[in-house]
Amino acid sequence: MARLNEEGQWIILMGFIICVGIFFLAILLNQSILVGQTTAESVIEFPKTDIQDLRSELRMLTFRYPADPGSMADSIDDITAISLYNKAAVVRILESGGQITEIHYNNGVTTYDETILWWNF
Amino acid sequence: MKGRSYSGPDDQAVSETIGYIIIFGIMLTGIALVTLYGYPMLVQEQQNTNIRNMERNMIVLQNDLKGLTYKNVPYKETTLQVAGGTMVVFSEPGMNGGLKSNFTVDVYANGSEVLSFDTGEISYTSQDTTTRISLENGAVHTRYWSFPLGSAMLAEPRWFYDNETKTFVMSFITLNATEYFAQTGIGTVGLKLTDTDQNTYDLSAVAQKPVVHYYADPENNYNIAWRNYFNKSSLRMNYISGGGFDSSFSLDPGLQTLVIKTYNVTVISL
Repeated sequence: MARLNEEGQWIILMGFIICVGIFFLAILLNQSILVGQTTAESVIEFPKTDIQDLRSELRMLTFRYPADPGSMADSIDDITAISLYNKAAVVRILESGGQITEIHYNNGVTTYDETILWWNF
Repeated sequence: MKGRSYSGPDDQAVSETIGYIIIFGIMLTGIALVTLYGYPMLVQEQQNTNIRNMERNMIVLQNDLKGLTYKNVPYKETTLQVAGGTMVVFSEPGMNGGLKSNFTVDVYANGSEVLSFDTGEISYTSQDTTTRISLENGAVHTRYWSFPLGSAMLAEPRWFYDNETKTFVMSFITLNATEYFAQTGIGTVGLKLTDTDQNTYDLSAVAQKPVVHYYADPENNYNIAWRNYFNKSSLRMNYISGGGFDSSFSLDPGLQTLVIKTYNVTVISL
């Protein structure tokens, strides 16, 4: 029997390694869909702009009604009602002497609390 | 043998026929194993993948509902593939006849103001009828036929109790449909927000806090899923009573404001 030529055996080995590699890639891909979805969901759900809007609106209020507590209280009531109606978010704003002191925001997913000493954005 | 040089092991007893038979035998055994065990496993795995995909699809639909209800989007459309089963819409009220799952809220806990909310649902039943996945009142449930009374919540609705302001916000999403929709394969789910309403109750002076009651349609029974959800500590609800198809919970004794939001969503296409 003639001696076998063994020089091509690496081709089989490479094939085997590539197979295992593709298998692991498939598992990874399968997982990544789920991870991507969960991440995208939590990004969508996070009410960043809602809170930013609320803060900027309140900041404007303190400039608009520095010496008119009545109008300020009315505006705060409106903001609370609109937040609840449109975004299903519970908002509580505490105010004293024309200055907003506390913001509480909760939409069921995210809770945000802030005590305002001065407006530093 | 004399004069012959040694070249490897002695192969005089090696027979081509025996080698062929051995290799052929190994091959047949391999094919038999794959057919008997491998193929059923593959089919089962395919079915599991279909069900998992559908779980994901339902969560996508739930996100659509969230967009309609909490983000003031008037219309949402999603194209999705339903494989290995059928997706149908059970419309409220009573389009498919029989009992309907519904919620009631006894606001003053004395029967003077009892609000009733029918849910309706979008439901998927797998081909082998082992699994059902359902989108009901903003939550995604799953249920196995092997455990007829059991159910689990895959994705929760957005009910919450704000402990700072002692406010409980609950939302009821009623699904309606214009037709008896059913779908397999690729299709587009169109959801439209038809109307929305909000009621706020000041309960700071009321001693008896509201009672929430869930009653399940026996054929679409997600009672355990809801009961487990209501038992979540962050909601601060207290279990009163319940059976195989219903559960009653009262809200936190410290509750001051109850907000009930209702949304009517119409399924336009499936």
